[in-house]
Amino acid sequence: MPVSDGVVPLSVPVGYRVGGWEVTGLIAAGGWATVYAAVGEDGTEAALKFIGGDRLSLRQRAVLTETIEHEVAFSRRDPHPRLVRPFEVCVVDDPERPELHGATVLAMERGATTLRDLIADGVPADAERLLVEVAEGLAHLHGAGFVHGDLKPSNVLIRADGSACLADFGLTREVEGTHAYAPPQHGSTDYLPPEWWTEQVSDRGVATRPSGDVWAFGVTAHQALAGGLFPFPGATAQARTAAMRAYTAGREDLRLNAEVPERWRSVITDCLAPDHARRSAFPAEAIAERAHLAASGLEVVTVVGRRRRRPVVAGAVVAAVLGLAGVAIALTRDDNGPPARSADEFPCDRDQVTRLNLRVQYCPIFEPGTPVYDSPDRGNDARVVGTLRVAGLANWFIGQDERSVYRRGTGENRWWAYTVSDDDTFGWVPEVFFKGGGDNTPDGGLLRCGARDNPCRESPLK
Amino acid sequence: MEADGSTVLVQVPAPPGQGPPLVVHLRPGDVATFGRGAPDRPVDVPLRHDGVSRLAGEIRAAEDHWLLSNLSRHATLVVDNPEGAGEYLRIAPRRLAAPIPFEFARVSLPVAEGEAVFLVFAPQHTYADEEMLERPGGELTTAAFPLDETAKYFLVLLALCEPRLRDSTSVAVPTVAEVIERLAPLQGFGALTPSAVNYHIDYLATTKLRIKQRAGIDDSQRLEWKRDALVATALRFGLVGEQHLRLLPSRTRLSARTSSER
Repeated sequence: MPVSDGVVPLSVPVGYRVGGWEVTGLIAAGGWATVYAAVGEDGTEAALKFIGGDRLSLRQRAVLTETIEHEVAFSRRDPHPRLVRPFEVCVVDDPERPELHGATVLAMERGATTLRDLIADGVPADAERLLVEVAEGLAHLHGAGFVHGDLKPSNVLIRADGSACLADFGLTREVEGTHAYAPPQHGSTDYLPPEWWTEQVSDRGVATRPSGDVWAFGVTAHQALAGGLFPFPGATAQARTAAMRAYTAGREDLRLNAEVPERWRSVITDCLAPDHARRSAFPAEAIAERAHLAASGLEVVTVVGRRRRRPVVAGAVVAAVLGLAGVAIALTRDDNGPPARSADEFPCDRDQVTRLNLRVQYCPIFEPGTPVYDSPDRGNDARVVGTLRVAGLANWFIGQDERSVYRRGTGENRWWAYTVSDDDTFGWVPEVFFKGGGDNTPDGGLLRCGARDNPCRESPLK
Repeated sequence: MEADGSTVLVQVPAPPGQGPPLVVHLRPGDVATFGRGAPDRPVDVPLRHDGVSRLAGEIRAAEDHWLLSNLSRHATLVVDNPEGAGEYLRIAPRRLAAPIPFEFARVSLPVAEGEAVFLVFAPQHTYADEEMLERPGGELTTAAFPLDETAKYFLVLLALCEPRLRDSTSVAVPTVAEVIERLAPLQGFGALTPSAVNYHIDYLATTKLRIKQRAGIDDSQRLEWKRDALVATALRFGLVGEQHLRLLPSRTRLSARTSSER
């Protein structure tokens, strides 16, 4: 015999006044709160979130207290354009309406719609820009030391001017050390990171981390770009969760929907890295930067280097967006072999740009086919079309030829465009976009190489 | 039972006095074969009974439930819910991947003498978040913890939490003996043993609520600590509430008799 505890949504009549606001209608009910539309005395439109009230039992109220306190405290922080703007917090003092008496009311800016509603009608025309703004909001939150904890399309408000901002900070918590604690969620399991399923529960709740928000952003971005489809297949949340866990266990590959544009795929793939450790290599700030690149349509980014032998943990991820080429490189260290020639030997008058807090300079070499390395162990046809000079990090060479070979000992890289740095590190880039107007390469467009024996193919940039 | 991401647990009772039961953990997609086995044909879940065929069937964890394949030519498998009101399923010979809806299931293989049974648990069944039902415009969401309010373990949890639900200043957590006494008037609880109660507590703490284990305490302290931690977590996150108290037998003898006669 299942028991219903008889909790019903707070019913607030149209015309009801609280603070300086007059209720005009119901927006939505979710979790422990009910949200109403309201208008201020000066005509300002607002959303009023009613939390609690006398209908809640003492016990339920106790459970809620912490959530309310956090959301209220958070809403009083400095405003940011990518976070929903709070107006005021008040408590209903109306003993004649016991069901409302004592309820906490958060008044905040009212969105025109939500990302969830936009997605329900297909891929939004400006989905990519919206995602950039969501990622910016997340980067701001994380930079301020918070974890959102409940990112999903229904918590992304779209304003009348079309801009997006993050809302619903009920599970938002301040990070202590590497993680925060939040009450176990009542929510859609589709946005929970895989580690949630094995995370143990203490009396403070479940550990939440910024990397969990990054996962949720990956799911949200996939939905926005694939017309609402989740990145994991299945008709039910249970089936999708099972598919997700098969992927994180290494039994299935990640298969993003074909509708997701090429330039977003590596961003989403990195957001959906299967465990917290790997995902934490992609902080929200870097994801926001790469989202911005992808949305600009100019650059293509890739990540994840692969070693033929003895894989070593990637040292850093560098995304470089430059006048000519957009390249992101996963650096892998090679622990033997002689140092390469210095990139500084090549003259360069390009501007430095700042990406991901790195000063990067792209220096094309305008003599295609210049054999930079003539040493036998540098490979038989290692020719470069430019270098990337990264302040504080190794300089990088960009190889020219399809399936150039770079050899060292018995290890080798065979990729269309590869990188060899002058501090003895190397990696590869399976996707490189050379935008038109290059002095060094006749072809514009994107080239991708799948696996070692797959021919590189050209992908039109959308 | 560990929080290792498994969604299905298979448990084979050991013969009396022969150590702990064999437990096999399955994650979604994992398969475990069962049967008598043979040196050249090992099975994941060995059933030591001559009447059982070498490869009797297989269990596949799927989503939040599991699928049972009967690989016998002639023998029907019977799956029943030991906590249910006699619900059972018959899985015909050669039936593949039959979905089993029980959180607790007892799989019985037909043998001439004695019994060949094992248990299968599916602790990750999903439930809708109660507060989200029947709400206008609300998304249908799932409860954070998959608790079946009709299961025995839920009543054990409720009995543990009852003193604090009735009086929030109370610090007492009932002992196992008190839980047994409290639940005894309920149908099906008359023969509840201390080890069964401890089993439910362990299942709740490690599998259902994934409560963080405390290191550095001995076994007797751990049992007591586990009860305390269960109550603290369940109350803090609202997993049990006053509204559930009516599932317990009334506290007066008179009405207890009335409810048991009903």
